[in-house]
Amino acid sequence: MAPAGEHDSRPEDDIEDSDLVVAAQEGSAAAFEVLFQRYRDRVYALALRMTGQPSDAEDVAQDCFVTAWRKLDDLQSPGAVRTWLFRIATTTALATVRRRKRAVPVPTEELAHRPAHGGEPAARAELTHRLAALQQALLALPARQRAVWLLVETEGLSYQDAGQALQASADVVRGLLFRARSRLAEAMSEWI
Amino acid sequence: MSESAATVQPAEPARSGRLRLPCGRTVTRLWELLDLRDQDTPPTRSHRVLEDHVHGCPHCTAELSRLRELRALTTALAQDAPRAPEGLWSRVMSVVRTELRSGPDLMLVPGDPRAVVATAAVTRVVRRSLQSQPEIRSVGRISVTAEDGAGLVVTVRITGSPTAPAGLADSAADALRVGLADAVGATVIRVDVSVEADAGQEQIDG
Repeated sequence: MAPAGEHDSRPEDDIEDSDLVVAAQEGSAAAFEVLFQRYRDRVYALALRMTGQPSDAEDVAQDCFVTAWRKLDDLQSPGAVRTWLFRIATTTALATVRRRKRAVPVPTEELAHRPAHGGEPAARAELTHRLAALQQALLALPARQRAVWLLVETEGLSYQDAGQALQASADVVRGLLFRARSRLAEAMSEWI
Repeated sequence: MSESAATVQPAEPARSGRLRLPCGRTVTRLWELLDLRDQDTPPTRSHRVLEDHVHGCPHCTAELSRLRELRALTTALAQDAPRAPEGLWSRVMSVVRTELRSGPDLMLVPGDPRAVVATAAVTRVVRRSLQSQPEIRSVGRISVTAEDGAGLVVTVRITGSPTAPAGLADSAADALRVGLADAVGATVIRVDVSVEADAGQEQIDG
């Protein structure tokens, strides 16, 4: 394991999250920056899929990381920083969606911003359309269902960790996830 | 009419709100089955019964195929994460660099408010002092407080290397005392070093 606080002298991938968190808790902005680089795309993607608006997503991601920096001392388990960041991002995104009442679907190219890669051109185009349809269907879900689905299905969080992010029990998460899956399967019926 | 010859019907909402297939199975159970398969989790007895049923049921087979396609699409979506805009980095880091986490000032000399040092500076010295010791594999969280200018109290958890000697806690304490005296001119009145050895070794407190 690499020592915390000296991460800039070695490849950042070798440093464990927990070491970076401890160094950042002790005041290392450089350690926090490595954490930021490590998670910025995932946090932004979660925010974009929650809010449906790139400008909102950028605000949510910025608030998430600034809040994380200010509240680092609250993080008792440094190894759980990923779940903790997703919790902050989800809470912030849900507040943003509530303020706007509902997510406004954005033009397809905003979310499916690049064509799917690999395979034949026709298959790639088909996959791009299917992904766009899935993202539109996702935006039509109630916000908490959308959050649970994203945390569990795309980020791989356990029901318990997703529950922490939403301040809900694992059973509530299970219920929300099932409803989200059902709605998505229905909305995607012409694509699957 | 036999089940295999039946037309495959879409799932209908059941009274419980769970979608029920014409064969009586719910879509929830099929999702559970898919989760178990994807996670390589050993099935329960009831899931084994369901597996057996699915093999001969056109409704379940068709529904499971749809769910599997949705799962594959979900995986593709997860891998297609949009990149964060470049401007995000500068906005976040400008706040981080402005709002330094230097911690409270520690008084080094009784009654002299000018003789203070930031907690973060002391912590950095402690960390470097410990990391310079080859028998220390990693340094955990460090806590530093000052006792009314009488000196510093340092608490730290370290992990020894597999070949670390038995007196590691004492040598670590000596190393950080010397480091703090040299770099900060601070007196250390108490050091609590807890050593977590590599797997299989007992924890030693010093």
